[in-house]
Amino acid sequence: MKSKFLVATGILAISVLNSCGPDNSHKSTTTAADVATENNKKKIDELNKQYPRIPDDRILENNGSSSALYAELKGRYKDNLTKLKEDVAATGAQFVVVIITPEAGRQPTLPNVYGIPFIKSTCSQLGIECIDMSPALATQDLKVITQTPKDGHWSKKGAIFLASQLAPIIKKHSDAKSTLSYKDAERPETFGDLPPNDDEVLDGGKNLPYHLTANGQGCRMSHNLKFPKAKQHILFLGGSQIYSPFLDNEFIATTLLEKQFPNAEMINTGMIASSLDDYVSLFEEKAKYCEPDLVIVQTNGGDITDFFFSNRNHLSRIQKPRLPSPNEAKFYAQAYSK
Amino acid sequence: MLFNTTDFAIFFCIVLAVYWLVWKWRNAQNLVLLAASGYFYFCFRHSLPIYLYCVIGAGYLSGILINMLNEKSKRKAVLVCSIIIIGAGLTYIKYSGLIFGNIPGLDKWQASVLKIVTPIGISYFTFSSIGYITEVYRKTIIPERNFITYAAYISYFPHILSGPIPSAAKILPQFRKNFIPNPVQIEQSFGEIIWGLFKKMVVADNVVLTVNYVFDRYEDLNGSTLFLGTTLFSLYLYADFSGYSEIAMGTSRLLGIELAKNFRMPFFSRNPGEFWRRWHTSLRKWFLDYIYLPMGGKQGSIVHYILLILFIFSFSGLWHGANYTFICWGFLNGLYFVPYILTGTLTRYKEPVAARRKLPTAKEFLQVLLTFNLVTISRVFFRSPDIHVAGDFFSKIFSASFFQAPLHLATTNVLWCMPMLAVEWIQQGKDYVLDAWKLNIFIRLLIFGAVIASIWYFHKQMNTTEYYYFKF
Repeated sequence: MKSKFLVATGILAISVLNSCGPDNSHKSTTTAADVATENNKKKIDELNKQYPRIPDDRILENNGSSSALYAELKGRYKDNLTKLKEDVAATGAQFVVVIITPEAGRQPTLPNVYGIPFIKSTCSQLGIECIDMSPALATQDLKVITQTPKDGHWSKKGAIFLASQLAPIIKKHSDAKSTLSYKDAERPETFGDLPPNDDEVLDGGKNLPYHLTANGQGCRMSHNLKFPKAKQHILFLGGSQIYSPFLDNEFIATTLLEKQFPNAEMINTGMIASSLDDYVSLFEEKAKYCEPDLVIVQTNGGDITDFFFSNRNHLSRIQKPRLPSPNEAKFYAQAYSK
Repeated sequence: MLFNTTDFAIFFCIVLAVYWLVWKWRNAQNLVLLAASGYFYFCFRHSLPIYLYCVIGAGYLSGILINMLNEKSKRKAVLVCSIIIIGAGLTYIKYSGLIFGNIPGLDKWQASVLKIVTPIGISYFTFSSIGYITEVYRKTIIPERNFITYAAYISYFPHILSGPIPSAAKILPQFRKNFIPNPVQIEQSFGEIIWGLFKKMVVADNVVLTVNYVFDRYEDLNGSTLFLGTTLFSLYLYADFSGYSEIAMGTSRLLGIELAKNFRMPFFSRNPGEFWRRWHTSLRKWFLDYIYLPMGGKQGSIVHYILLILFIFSFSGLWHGANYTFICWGFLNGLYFVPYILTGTLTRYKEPVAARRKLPTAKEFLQVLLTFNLVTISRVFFRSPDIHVAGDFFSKIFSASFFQAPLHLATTNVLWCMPMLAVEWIQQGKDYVLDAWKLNIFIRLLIFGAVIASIWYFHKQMNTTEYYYFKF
């Protein structure tokens, strides 16, 4: 009798574990879409074994900035920025590019030395509003605004600083309104890539635990967006500088901005290790359906070198195997033959 | 090489195969154990076995020397010298950071040079060695003349890192007997290993980040969340440490060595005395046999008894680490005994709570709840990095914010631990948690399979965390 009770308890235990415990949604049932990308994943895995990631700086060493390879990467960056600009323009939203480097108070790295001027000139050519925050960041104390020495991402004070830098942009575009709206049936379930309703503690292996909360729409925010919208929607596309690891939701810049601007909702879709092509695909697939009135894209020179094929194979959200171009193959052979 | 890794599984399978192959020759089996333990220990840090073998050598020679002497005073002198020599190593290595860190004029670099890296498990093999030579002195055991047997016993890999601290009288003789496990023992071993892995990989590893978060970010959280976080830490520590101990017992049984049970459902205790008879029992027994009883135990006045309890617990705190937080933790746990002693309610229960009943009475339930919360709240000291943080943590718990709603995450994590306690409650009185020997083999396999499946499904993939008690 007692043993039958044990079996029943085992089943009960597992069902309780399933329903109330830490999130294990990453292990949920495989969908048809997952199966479809399985072959691509395998190919990418094979390529990743063959071609490790290249450190960003390495591409630019020994006059690499004037190389055909860097020109090719810049071309990819420009194409993607153009595509994103067009996609945003199609929704009638305002589009702003902000250059945020994780290099407060120190000499910029090579990708930013060469990358930032290019980004600025490209934005100028394409007629995109571009705000360079790197000079303001350079005057800041690294130990205050980042979690140095454990990690280079924003501290609480850093998030306040970031919010103070972004606030004038939001204020300036407070009248921005998109011209496009979607029917509920058209809208995807999520606007961001985080697991919906994620509620867990992460520490990135750095012993800096933080509480990540995602809304039901996969964005780093505490509430779900409702439609038709009653407030202005400001969409943030970016990497870890927008996502803000090692800070609880309540301390990140987008939450601080939401408190500052009660008539706007800050939609944080930032993801660690994301790059410009990820923003393009995310916007096209999901984010545009949140009907943003203002789209703020965070970028820096690293996004250009991130277009190196092996870096994309390793990091991109798009599960598409990329083979090296002749320039990349040549560089790879040179860099790894030493 | 942690118990919950494939590296250990491969290592153990090889050791077991070789060990069983030479079952006819006990000396060869001990040699296998000695080599395996050396390799196991070597994997943690390459220089560590040298110190271990020095302690083994000192303990071995001391035992023989004490046995050779007839005069009690000389035997005692050798015992004291041996304890000083073996204990000095532990004291220096474990407390050099505190000692040199506080010497005026010594800069950080000099202090770091003088400080030695603490070998993992040092307390356990030191305590085992001291226990052994004391037993030889007391003539409760004869000294082991075979060096391989003795070395295999002290360095025995299932218990070297976090115990259970072996009792020489019970464990050492097992290293002299030939052994072939029978199917019942093999099943019990697997049951213990699987349940230990479940506790470590499903419970402890899934809640540890939340525990770290609560203690690292306590300034941003309300009192009720901190209270739940502390409760979670208690549950985590139990799952982690008792899980380790159960794997140690299971693996050891496959090698024919029966280790002592280190945890006996401590969270279902009706007073602090009962709790400490159920939590880390091998350490408690060591303190009892080698400090508490030699210092008079309960024999003297009530004041002597209370002071001794306070001393033992403070000493236990100091053993955990050279930090005031551990001393406060120990002292507070000792202090809990005082009202029970003064009111004569420190009952030494012969049976577990609700024995032969399904549920405890209301009185028992309240007693268990009080004991659990007393123990849990003291763990704020145990987990805090320093006394100031512990003070701030307490002041936040005992503030108005205690009445605010706790973080949902803290609640779900505490609930996550409940099935583990429920299953242990239902199975209390059995030899091991997954014991279902009376049932059909297929149902037993089904139970084992269900637990293995839940380990596979729920384990934290991101990281393998070290056992918390390794640091002690």
